[in-house]
Amino acid sequence: MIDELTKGPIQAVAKKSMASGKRVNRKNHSKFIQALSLIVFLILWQFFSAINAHFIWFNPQFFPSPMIVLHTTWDYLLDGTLIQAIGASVIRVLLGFAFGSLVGVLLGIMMSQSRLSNDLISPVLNMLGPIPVFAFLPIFMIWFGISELSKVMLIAYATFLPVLTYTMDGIKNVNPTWIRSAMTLGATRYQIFTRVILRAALPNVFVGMRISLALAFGALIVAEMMGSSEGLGFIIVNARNWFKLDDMFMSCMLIGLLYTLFNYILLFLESVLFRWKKDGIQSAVER
Amino acid sequence: MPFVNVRNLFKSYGDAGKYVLNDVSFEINENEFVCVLGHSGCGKSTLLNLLAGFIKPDKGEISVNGQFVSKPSSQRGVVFQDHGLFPWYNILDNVAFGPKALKNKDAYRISKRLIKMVDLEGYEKVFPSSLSGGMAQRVGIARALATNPQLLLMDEPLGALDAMTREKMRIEILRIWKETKKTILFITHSIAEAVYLADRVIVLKEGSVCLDEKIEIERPRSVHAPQFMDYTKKFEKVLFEHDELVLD
Ligand SMILES: Nc1ncnc2c1ncn2[C@@H]1O[C@H](COP(=O)(O)OP(=O)(O)O)[C@@H](O)[C@H]1O
Ligand SMILES: [Mg+2]
Repeated sequence: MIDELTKGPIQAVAKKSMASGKRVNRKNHSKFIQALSLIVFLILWQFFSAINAHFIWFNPQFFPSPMIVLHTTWDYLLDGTLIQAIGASVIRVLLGFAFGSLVGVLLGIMMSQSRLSNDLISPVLNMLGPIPVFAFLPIFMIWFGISELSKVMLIAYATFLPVLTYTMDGIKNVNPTWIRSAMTLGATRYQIFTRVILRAALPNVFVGMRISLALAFGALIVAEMMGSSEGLGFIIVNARNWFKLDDMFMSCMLIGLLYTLFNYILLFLESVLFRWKKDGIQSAVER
Repeated sequence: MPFVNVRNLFKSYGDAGKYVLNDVSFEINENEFVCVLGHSGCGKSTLLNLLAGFIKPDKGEISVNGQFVSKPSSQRGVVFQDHGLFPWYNILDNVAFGPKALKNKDAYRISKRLIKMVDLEGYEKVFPSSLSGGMAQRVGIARALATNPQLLLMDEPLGALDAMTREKMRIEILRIWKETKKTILFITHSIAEAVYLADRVIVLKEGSVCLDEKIEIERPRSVHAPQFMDYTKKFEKVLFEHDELVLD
């Protein structure tokens, strides 16, 4: 009896730490499988292009192996064009994405605060919204020239609409009890807006930004393919003329890597900014 | 002049002729602990929201300390059932929200003292998402007290807590009331809670005050005392008057 009493809490603690240990294990396990999936993918790719190179079912040049792509990447890296291309693309997407997000947030705030501006702007956005961004590229090129500006503006345009929608949504869905609390605590309208409404809506703004990121990359590549002399998109169109499929594969892989990197940066910012959030269903039920 | 004076209050929510509050009048004296007791849906929250100034009455008026209530004010602190803490602020910043908004230079000193008073010292840097229901509610009380309001309005603050925590929180709230000497209007649908806590219980039924009764039992009160039972029965009788099932 005494034994059980004294053991009780210790066992409980032990169980608890075991549970969290299990969670870490599961996380590592999942990471391992994900890495494995990528490795298997690359091996299969290498394998099939090698078989094709042997039997020549079709021109092996059209299906380069990962090793060849890696080799091409190395060559590009050595002669400096790769850094230049990545630099050009990164600067474009950063500028366009930042500008588009800023406009989206500001317009979202404005439209959620004034009915008049909402009534004025939202019909236009509802009309423009469904039109694919790429349809506007020629128009942007005539308006802003075949310069950097037209590309950055297209990326910004692709970015701003989801950010705006999610910002407005976040502001609209602020828990009214928070606003009431702030009112009884003597906050002014301005304080309520900055310390409660915006703070509460910020996670939603980031959701909008992560959705926009994919669109921004789409706009970047299309803009670079249409009228550009550098960048990852340019490498693809340029390679088309010479059937350099290894260049194309390299560019596609790098675009994917860049997007993943940017997405991780956003996720990291979120995890720092929204530390106060519960970590969702993961911590709600243990599985 | 009573500290809180509610006169001939009428309130409806749009649907014509149907009053959620129908000619409600009562008074509360300074330092008094008053419970408003009633079934769910009888208009308790509506009454509290009117007192807080969140909504406006159709007719009638409310004054607190000689001033008419027209909008929310830091003179009337509110504790909500779902605590309403700001999840993006830690406990200290939640409690300091009021004094900081009012540009009080002592915001953090006041807040730390209140956090200590509600027995949460050491939790200053913790975020609300990792607090238990009872702890969150204590932070809610500290936050409401931080602007030093004259009147504390509490809308079923213990409603979402488990039975054990409720018991503890009742004692805690009485202690805080004695320490701070605030006037408290406390809303509940639990008869036992009302009889345990209140100097006076106002029973609200279908939007009208149907009983306004002083509880004359010495504190600390025991649920098992015969006097306690007498009050409980009395309120049960009023609340379940027209119902089929009257236990007794
Ligand atoms: N904002 C509102 N709009 C319309 N009806 C409401 C609103 N708030 C409350 N009511 C109605 O008023 C009545 C009283 O509600 P409430 O004051 O919340 O009761 P209690 O807090 O006693 O449970 C209920 O019938 C409820 O449906
Ligand atoms: Mg209620």
